[in-house]
Amino acid sequence: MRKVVVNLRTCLGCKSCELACALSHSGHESLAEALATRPVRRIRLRRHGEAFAPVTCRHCLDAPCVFACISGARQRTDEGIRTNDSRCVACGMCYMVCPSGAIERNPATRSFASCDRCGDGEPRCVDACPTGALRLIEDESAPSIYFEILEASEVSS
Amino acid sequence: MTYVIIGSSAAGLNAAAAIRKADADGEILLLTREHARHYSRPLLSYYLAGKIDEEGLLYGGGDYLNGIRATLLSGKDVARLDVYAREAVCTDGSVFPYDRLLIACGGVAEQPEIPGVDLAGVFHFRTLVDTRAISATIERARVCVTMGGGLVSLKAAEALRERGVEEVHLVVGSDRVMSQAMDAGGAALLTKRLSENGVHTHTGESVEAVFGEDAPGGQGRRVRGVSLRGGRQIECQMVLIGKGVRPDLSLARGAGIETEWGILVNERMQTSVCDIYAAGDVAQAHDALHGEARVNALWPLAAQQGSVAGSNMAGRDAIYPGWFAMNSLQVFGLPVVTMGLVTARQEDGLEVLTHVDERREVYRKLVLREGRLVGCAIVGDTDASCLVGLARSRVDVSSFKEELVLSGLTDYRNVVTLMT
Repeated sequence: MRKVVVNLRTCLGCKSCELACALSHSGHESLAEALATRPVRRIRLRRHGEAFAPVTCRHCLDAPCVFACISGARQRTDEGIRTNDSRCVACGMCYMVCPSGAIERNPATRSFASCDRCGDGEPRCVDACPTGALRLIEDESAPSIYFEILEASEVSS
Repeated sequence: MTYVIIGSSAAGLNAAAAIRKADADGEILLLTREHARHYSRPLLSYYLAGKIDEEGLLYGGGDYLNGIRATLLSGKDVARLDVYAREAVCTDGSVFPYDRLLIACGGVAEQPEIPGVDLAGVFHFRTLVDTRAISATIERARVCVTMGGGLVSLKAAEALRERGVEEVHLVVGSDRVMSQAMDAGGAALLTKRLSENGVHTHTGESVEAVFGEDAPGGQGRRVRGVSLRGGRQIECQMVLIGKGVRPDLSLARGAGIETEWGILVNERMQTSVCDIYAAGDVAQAHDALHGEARVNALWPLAAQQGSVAGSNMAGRDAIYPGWFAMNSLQVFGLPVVTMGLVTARQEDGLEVLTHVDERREVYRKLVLREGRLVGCAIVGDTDASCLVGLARSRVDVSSFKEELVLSGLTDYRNVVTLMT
């Protein structure tokens, strides 16, 4: 399965990924039109000590969000975890159980959203990253790889 | 291999999916006493509100069971188990032999013993049949009273208001709504939001009797109102019973399976009888925050337990990690997340941190034991992410507890351990 990984050493924290993600999911081509719809990003720049960490859905193999979903809207597919929006009732169970904090709540619409890898195409966040800190890799075995460059000492500190 | 699953809700459906993942050929039979398809019980309030239709009630859609090649037989009420012949025997005389059996029959609603509960217009709100009956009489109901102020009553109240019922009165025995899963501070915000939306809360009260009147056209007796213990009467045309559920242990006890509050299971969801498993609202399974086996009748736990049971039934080794009480919902647009030992107080030897912002209608409470998160109540438009993960992974949050209670997780370094 393809997954997005982050190199924490080269992320500048510029939020280009957030912007590209929000635009991609706004249903509009132009940024100006998209802004009017108050789109929600599905990747979020978080702080990681002195560094930055863009966080998005890791498409866990044993995903708690899938079990938590009361309508069965959230299911694992061959392309990763997807929400069938027409079946979602916005209870927020998936948001609550996600260990990564990768599901976003949109207070305006009272709905929830997470990374769908921009459908079948290239994730726009990867395209938009100016330093190549975000990359798309093919990786079946390791659901835990999300932060690519992370020494053991950095994890524990 | 024949797998028989008693029940067709969270535990049963997820067990069936897990079995199919591990066993491509086995026969999977789900038996339900209800005359209904594989609907999701927590969606009933959305259905009552008119937000989804009957197709929308079906877990994972109408084709879900076809997709995992499982067969649901409705109207099959299992009366007893013959653990020596390895058969489930139904009230209609039909017999289902099994190689592996899962008891996922859930709970039964508590029935209050007061006069008048047999009148027309008094309903439980637990099954699709209940919900259709409520829906069919809703037009006549200007005022509705719910007995109980738990989560089901709150969601029912919201649905009734959306369907045009003018007033809903929650009659609550304790001092607040959601007393099992919410503390006083969070409940206060909820009560405010409810009353702004025509739902009135009567705490420390109980319904002593439901009184009736003759329905027109000789249609028998129907609800006219309720009398409360404090002496007050409320005129109403509908009463909902929401006094909670308890595990349905009749089958297990009849079969000599060990029970306590629920059916006792180990970390593989096996009961005390060979090849019989239990999961969901009927099971008493390990709870990591309480450190003991508990009945937690909640969807995410039932689904996880069902999946673990299904994997083990089909010969894979799966271990239930001991999930704990957790819930997320929105009540009239007010988001609520609760988890674990949420009603705990400082006096219980636990550390309690709270943050209240009345203007923004935000309430945040964290409960820590030895630096680790063991409970939370988060109400309002505020960050509730990662808290279940932090509790689940037993992360020591003491170095960032102040920011955690104020605004939620800010430094992602603290959750990297959750992801490995």
